[in-house]
Amino acid sequence: MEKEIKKIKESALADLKSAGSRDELQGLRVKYLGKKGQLTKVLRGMGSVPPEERPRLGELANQVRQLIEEELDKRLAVLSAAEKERKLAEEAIDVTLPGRPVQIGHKHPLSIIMAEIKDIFTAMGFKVAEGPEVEYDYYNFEALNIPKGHPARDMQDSFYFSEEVLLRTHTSPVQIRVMEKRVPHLPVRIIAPGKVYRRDDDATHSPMFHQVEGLLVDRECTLGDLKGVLLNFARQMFGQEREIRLRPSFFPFTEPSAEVDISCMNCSGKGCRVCSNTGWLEILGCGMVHPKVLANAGYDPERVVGFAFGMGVERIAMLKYGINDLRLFFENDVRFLHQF
Amino acid sequence: MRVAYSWLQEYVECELPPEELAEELTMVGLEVEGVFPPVENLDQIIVGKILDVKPHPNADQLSLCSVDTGSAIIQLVSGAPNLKVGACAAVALPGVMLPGGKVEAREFRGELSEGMLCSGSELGTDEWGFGDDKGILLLSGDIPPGTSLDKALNLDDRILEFELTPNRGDCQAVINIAREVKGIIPGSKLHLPQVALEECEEKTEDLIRVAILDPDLCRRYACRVVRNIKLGPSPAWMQYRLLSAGMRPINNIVDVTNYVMLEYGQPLHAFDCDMLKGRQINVRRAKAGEKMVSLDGTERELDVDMLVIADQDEAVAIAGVMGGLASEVTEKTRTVVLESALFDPYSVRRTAMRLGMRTEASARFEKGVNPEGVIPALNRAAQLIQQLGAGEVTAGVIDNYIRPEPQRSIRLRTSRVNKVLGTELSRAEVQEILSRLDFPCELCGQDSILVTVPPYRVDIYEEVDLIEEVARLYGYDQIPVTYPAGSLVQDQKYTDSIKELVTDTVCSFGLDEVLTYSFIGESVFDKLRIPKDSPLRNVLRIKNPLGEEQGVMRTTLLPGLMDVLTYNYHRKMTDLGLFEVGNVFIPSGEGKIPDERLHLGVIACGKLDTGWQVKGMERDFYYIKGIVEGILEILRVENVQFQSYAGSPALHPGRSAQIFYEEELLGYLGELHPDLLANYEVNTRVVYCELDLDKVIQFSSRDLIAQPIPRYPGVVRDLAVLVPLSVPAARVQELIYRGGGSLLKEARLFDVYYGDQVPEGYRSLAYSLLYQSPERTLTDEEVAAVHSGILQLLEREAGARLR
Repeated sequence: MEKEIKKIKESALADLKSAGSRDELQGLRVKYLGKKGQLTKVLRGMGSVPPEERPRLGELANQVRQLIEEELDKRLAVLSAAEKERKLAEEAIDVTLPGRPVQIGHKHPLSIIMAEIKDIFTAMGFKVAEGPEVEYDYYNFEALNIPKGHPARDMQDSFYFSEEVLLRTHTSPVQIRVMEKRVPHLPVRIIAPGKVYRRDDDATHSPMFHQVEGLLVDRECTLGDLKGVLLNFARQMFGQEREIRLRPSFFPFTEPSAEVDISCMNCSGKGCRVCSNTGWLEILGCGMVHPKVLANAGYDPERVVGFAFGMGVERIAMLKYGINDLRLFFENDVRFLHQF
Repeated sequence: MRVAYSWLQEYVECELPPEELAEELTMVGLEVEGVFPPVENLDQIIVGKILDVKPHPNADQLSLCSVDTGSAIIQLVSGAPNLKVGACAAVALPGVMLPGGKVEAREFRGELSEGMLCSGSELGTDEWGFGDDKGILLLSGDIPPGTSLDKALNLDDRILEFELTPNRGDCQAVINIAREVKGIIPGSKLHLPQVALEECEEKTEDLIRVAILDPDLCRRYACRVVRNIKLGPSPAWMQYRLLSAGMRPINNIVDVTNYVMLEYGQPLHAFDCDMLKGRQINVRRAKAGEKMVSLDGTERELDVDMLVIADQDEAVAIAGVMGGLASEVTEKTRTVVLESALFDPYSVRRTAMRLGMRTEASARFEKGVNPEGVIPALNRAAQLIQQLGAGEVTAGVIDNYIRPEPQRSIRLRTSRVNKVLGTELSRAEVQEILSRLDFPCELCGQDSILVTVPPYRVDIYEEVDLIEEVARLYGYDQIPVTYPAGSLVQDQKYTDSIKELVTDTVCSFGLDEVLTYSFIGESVFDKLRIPKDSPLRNVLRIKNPLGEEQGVMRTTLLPGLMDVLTYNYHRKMTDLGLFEVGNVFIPSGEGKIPDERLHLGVIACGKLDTGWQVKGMERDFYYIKGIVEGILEILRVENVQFQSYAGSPALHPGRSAQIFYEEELLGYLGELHPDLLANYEVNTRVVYCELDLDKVIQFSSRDLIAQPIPRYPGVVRDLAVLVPLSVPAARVQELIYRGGGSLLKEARLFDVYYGDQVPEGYRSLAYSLLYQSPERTLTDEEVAAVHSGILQLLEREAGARLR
């Protein structure tokens, strides 16, 4: 009997090893452990075994039973895993096929740059202000210390609707409008983005373009502070390694006035084609608010000081994105727009 | 303004190389735009001595020259008629760039030419009086072979081209640029021209009389007379300086007036004295209808606001702008009147602009000339004429000076300088800076300096002007970088502008933002089929547009967007979704600024790219309606109605709608009319919508209050009904909500079906209805009762039938 049990064990283990499916395993379970299974049959014949042998043989049979059950389970786990693997393998797809397109809209590059400029200055405590695009001569010129007949009006040839109404030639009139509203409170700390218009249309001039104006008026504020604010702007916009340079210049509404250059990002100031070998790129104009302008807006120029700056958005966008044709901005070719 | 470096050096000690000087001048506010030699690449051309000339064996027109270049003897082939043995000529060796191209060694009919003998026109020196196009440039004198041509011709100079700001009119004078150079070079000295005159006995006042009849436009009028004129060319040095400044030499008299204008900044004019009738000069406004032929030969129509110089009868010059042809200095001229005057800047500017003639003289008068420079410049011109032997100066100056310039003294506070600049300069430092510019300074009080402004600095009138002088000479780069003090807190909170919110939203819906001009051409309204009586045609007209196509301010975004769509469509980009957020301009009366309203325009055509799994969908009416609904949801504007609209010839009468909030029209949307699209040669359906965002935002419920998440489950039931085609979906929806009462949370249309099993004149609408109560779980019976109530209402009110 003992021999028979061992034989069952051997044959069961061999069968298990060759079993290739869950069904086969189920068959082996019946074959060996079922009610009519081989091992069950042997145990049923225990009656013919001498009583003193029974406990030993009983235990042996139970051990074999347990062993077969364990091996069955193990084999089952192996086969299930393999089957799952196979199913997953069958489900494989071509991951290189393109995904389902989502509709991505593109902001106009000038919008993107304006938003960046706004972000940089609002983080420095400037508030966004706006003014009308069609302006009175007073706000566009007179209040900014540009009286009629002033040669500075030549620099900004204007579109007129009547003697006193024109398309603003710069965002500077917003300075006056904001100060008029805010006087006598301090500080005034605004930036004003928007469209401006000049009677110029060629490869490097568009009759409509965009500016961002900045203005700070307070009890204390210096040209040094202006340098600090602009340096911070230049570095955030064009990279932390940028330097700025202020060159004396002239605007009727600021004094002292300056043009601001940044070190060329193409050659890091060594001189290249982008910066015409100067190492510097002009990006904006600025200065200390002229006392007459402060007075025109209702502030006492002896008590308050201010600085102002203005930049061309197209210029910044061209430098930042390496765009060399101004017309691209207003042609709106989607092959251009989709790059942003 | 262009100045030769060598000319500047005559007036101020300066050892800086021209490029460095240019940089320094730029950094004090005189921007130098360019530094260039009179003639490019002349330093690479050398002088060669022609040792021998032989005929070319294979060409009658050519010769073979043996030329000593200083380092070698080379053969050059030339066809020039003026080849001369022993002469010095200009030689370009291979590799040199000439205006006409690069010089190379090449064979001419089998004979090698190792470079080229050049003519003046090939080199570009002809414009400077050296050579021509008839033969090679030969040099006089014995010049060692190998000498560079720029040195041999005294053209080894640099020209500085200034881009002056409008306030620095004073620097349209070489002596005043020299003063700036002195200001930046410590310890340098000025050497200004010394004027000494020998006058003959004849008295000027016996030869000419002057009357200023319109003193408001002319503060000062001075003149001198020069007799026994010997007209001829001016000397080479003077011609060179005129040429380097971009002026053409004419004759010794005219050249002297131009030379002194460049030198002193004071425009001068020379009249032929014998052509002034009555020997009289009247400075007066032009008479109505008065005409004059100016020096350039053009007849000018003058108006009564223009100042002229007239003899006893008629105008002989346009004051400060240009002389007249009749009194021009010519070969026949025996006596010359030299004019030096102060004309009103605004008047000169206006006259020059009216006549379209900006001249060197008007450019100077416009920006203000030195009132005290009138006589020195006049004397300088007389002296030069005398020096050149071109005439004799008569005794005395005629000088009518009506409103003398008061001396300007300005108090400058050191504390104010530091307050504005953020510096810590001492009074002595400030004084030192100003003394570099030769501004006389006198200390007063503890803090201040009384500064006397030299009369040529017509841009300095107040303290802040002096602060600027201090800043620019101290150096902007020396001013410390600091940051504004004070609170960053603003009195108003920064709110996202509606413009940015809408732009970001529409972008997120997959459309591309465009920017178009705010001005349009009025003819576009016809192209867009906008009716003649449409309020859109009430436009603001630009008085001086660049062209008719940009003549009026837009009242709608459609023209710009239609142009962009057309542009792209015609370049084979036919699947488009574009939008613009920008102002339109509604006139609000003559002389007033218009009402600027922020609009959103969306235009789209073609298919949506949905990839390879799903078939592409057209950008049709419902696409753009979805966008409008999306924007309104983001802006939190609820209960908006879309009403079918057939009233616009620009739109498809059956596929367009107006958008209302209660009675208020917010905008419209629809397919563009096929006839409109035909005008643009666009052969596809195009949908468009335009919203008045300023209006939309009025109805936004900005304060959002969050609702709790429902605690009890809802019950979903579908409802499919057959509805007569005449009943709009909005009506069905409305009835469903009315019938559903408070238990109906949401009714979502998920299918619209025509065709099989749907009777003629009907369509099938299928809704998914969500019933839910915030207080309890609904029972089937409750839901069934409401559901059948809805159906009955639809049957009764809309003629619907359960499908």
